[in-house]
Amino acid sequence: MRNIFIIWKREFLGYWKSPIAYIFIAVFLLFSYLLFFLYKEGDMDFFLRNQAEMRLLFRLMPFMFIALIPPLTMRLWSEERKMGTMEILMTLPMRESEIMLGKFLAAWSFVLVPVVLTLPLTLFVGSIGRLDTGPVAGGYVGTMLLAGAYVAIGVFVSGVSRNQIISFILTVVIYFVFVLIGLDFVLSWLYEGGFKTVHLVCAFLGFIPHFESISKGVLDTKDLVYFASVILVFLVLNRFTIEIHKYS
Amino acid sequence: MIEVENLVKKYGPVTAVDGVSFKIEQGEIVGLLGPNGAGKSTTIRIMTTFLAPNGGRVVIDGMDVVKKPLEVRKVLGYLPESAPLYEEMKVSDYINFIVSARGIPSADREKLRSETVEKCGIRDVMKKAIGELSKGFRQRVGLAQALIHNPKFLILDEPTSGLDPNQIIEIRKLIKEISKDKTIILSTHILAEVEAACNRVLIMHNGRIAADSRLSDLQAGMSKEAEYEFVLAGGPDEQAEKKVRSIPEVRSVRGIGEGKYLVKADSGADAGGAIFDAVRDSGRRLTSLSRRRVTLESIFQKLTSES
Repeated sequence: MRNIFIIWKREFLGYWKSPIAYIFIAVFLLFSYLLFFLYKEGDMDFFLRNQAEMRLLFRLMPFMFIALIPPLTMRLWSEERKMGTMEILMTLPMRESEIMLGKFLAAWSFVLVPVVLTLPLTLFVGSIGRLDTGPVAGGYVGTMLLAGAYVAIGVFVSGVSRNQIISFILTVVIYFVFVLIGLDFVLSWLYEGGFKTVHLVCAFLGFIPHFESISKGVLDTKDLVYFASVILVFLVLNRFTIEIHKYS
Repeated sequence: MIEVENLVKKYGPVTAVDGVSFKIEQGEIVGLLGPNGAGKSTTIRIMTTFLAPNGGRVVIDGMDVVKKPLEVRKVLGYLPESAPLYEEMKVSDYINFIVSARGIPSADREKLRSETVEKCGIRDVMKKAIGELSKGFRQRVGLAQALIHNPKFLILDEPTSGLDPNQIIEIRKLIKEISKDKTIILSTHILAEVEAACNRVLIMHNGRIAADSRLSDLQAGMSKEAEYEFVLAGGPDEQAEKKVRSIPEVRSVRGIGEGKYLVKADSGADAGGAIFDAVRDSGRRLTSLSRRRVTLESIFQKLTSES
């Protein structure tokens, strides 16, 4: 535990020294705040709809994360490998899994910084209307879990490729696939096209169905287990690639 | 003690380390010498648990590096090639990170920290970012990182590469200073380094150990033959050459132009005086006469040129 914290601390504080971190936070907040007010459903924007709800903010998350999380995760392993600092890191008296978890948690917690900074928006909406707390709490829990899944994938990819650009592209592609297969129009297209099994698999694997169900304020174990599994699977794969590098 | 037995490491089809074995006793300072690509760094990476071998084993202080990596890492200090450090971190933050990552008990922290900082001479740069440091200071910070937990074994991969002559001398002095109570393995392809700091040398070539001996034995063993060089005033002269050749200890004399001659003689007696007399007897004068020292260079070249 202590070792995980030591690695977490170095990585988390390290983020604040790079401009990417500030760009990440600024862009994240800009998009959440602007799109929240400007996005039109039908031809009604937030003010015309005249409803106190945060649905739209959370609906943005899976898409914003696609572009914003890879820059935070792509360097976690590949930079260490490229700079050679990996050799000192991996010969510290710590377990490989502790180092990996420290890195994963650092990126995850950093992603949650701007998510927390959307709270003023929520409080503002809550102050001008009656917010239903269930979906808001669910939305934040869902966003947290979704971010965890994205980060686990990103950290894993960073361990696969030494090249950060390749890491970036590969991560975006994986996110895109996970998002795409859970989109309403894709799912209904599959369903109507008669691909029943594929439809079921996609609905099960895609991010969006699970995320939306949590965001409605329904904390179903099925969805929690889903996100926990995605995180776990990619962490295990990550641990495995570290081992492969030792033997190759 | 460090025991390396039959170590093998392959990168795909390339065998980087091919059956390397050696033993290092407590307190030895061993130079691991070899041309680039000889397998030095790979051997070191296996010893430090960074890589796993394909065959053979390394036992450090009675612990197998594959079976007990965490315990091995505790007794090792390691400075990888070119001192890879986190550029964006401040030196003090980096040292603090290593101190806590090394799990140094908080009672010893302050003492070990200030001792190491003092020893490595980095007190003045503690507030600077590592990326701003000169190569010499980076190397010192790298050494501090390797030393801070007062390890029994210190493994340094090319600790002076890329430094200027002054920095090299300083780093060597530092290594000498810390070598008092430690077992040190120092890899390098600079021969002077081994001569300056080590008492034993392991020469690697093509993934194998080409020579393993005490520095003094190696030099003595290779020098059954002594070499002299003399230069005649006023150019070459057959008479003088003949006279020198007639000295009993002299095996051969070879003119290498402009009055310069190379003499090979038995190493037992000093043939220098005889050469001087022979030249004088022939009526010529010497502008210089010297005995060529058998350098590690020549041994090294001999061992690593035949593949």
